[in-house]
Amino acid sequence: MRLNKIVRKIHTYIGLQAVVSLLLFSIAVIAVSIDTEKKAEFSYHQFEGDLSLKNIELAKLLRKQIGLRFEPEPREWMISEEIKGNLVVRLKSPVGKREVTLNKVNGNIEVKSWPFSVSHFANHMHQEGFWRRKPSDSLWLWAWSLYIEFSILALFALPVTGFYIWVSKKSPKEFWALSSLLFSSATMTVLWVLIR
Amino acid sequence: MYNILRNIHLFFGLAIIPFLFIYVFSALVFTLPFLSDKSVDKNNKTYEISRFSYSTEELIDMLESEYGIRGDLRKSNVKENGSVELLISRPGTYYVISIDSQKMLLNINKNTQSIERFINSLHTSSGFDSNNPAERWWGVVVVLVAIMLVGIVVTGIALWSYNRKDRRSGLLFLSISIVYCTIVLFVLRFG
Repeated sequence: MRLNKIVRKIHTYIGLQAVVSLLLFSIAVIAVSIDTEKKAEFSYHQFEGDLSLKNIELAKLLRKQIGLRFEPEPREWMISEEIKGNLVVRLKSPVGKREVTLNKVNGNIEVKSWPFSVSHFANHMHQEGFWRRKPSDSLWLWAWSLYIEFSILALFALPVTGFYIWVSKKSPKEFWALSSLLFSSATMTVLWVLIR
Repeated sequence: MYNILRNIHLFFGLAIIPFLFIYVFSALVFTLPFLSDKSVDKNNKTYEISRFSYSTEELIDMLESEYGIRGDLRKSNVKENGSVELLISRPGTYYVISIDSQKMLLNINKNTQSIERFINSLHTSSGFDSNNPAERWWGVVVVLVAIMLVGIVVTGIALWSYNRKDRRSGLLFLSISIVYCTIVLFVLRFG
């Protein structure tokens, strides 16, 4: 009985702590499923720096010159040069994503931006992870990723504790409740097999 | 009223358990890279073909009906010598296909990813855009799960409000969490 009470309390408090993230996860799922990406916006600039530097150095200078707040420091996997002489840097921040193309011959910069709608912002924020984020990147992003990491664990703990509370109760188990679990398990298994 | 809310909470909670575990597992794999198994099982086969078309739709139909290849076309490329290269994928599996139109040879390179990668693909694919009905159904079910999750949050808060013992401390938890998230999200969005 005592254990049951403790589990109930854990379920309640973890649930209350995770309210915002659970709503955010739900919005993100629905947004990704039905919302379409906005049209790209273009802007043009001139590079201020030495064009003979290595690609990664150029990318860092580009960020310094036209980078937005909370945009990460460019890393090798964010840059490419599919057309020779055109350096492409792909950047993502809570405000939107941008593709910056630098012409390494004349220094022209083309910035293609896709600003995030509220739903895409929710989707972007739900992807944050504590282990990928360092406090030096941005304290705000780090603080958010800490909350998201805790919420992922909450998402595991809530069904486990909730299931325990239901199973441990002495009264007979409701048939419809059991059916809902079996039906969703069967649905997931069938879809899993069909997709795999 | 309490019983109705409790039954809705229980029904939704049990209904989404299997999907939640899938999503939590993949979220952990995303955030903890050492959990990810990046191994790929490769299988390469070459066949002689009797017909060929430059229409990708016809090629995809042929590949599906005669070689059981299911998935969405991600890339198609016609080379200078007339051969065609296709990249077809579905969650957990992708095919690199090349068709030599002169020698009438079809090469299928099947790459099967680990279960972890498959689950991650399920997590990231939106479902509705796919040609595969099962993936579209997955998309529908996941949206339903999201709606039920909102229902669980709402009924959960309502059920907690009946609980006199935990009302004060619960309110403190809820307030801290909401204030913390609101400030951080506000700064990240508008800062």
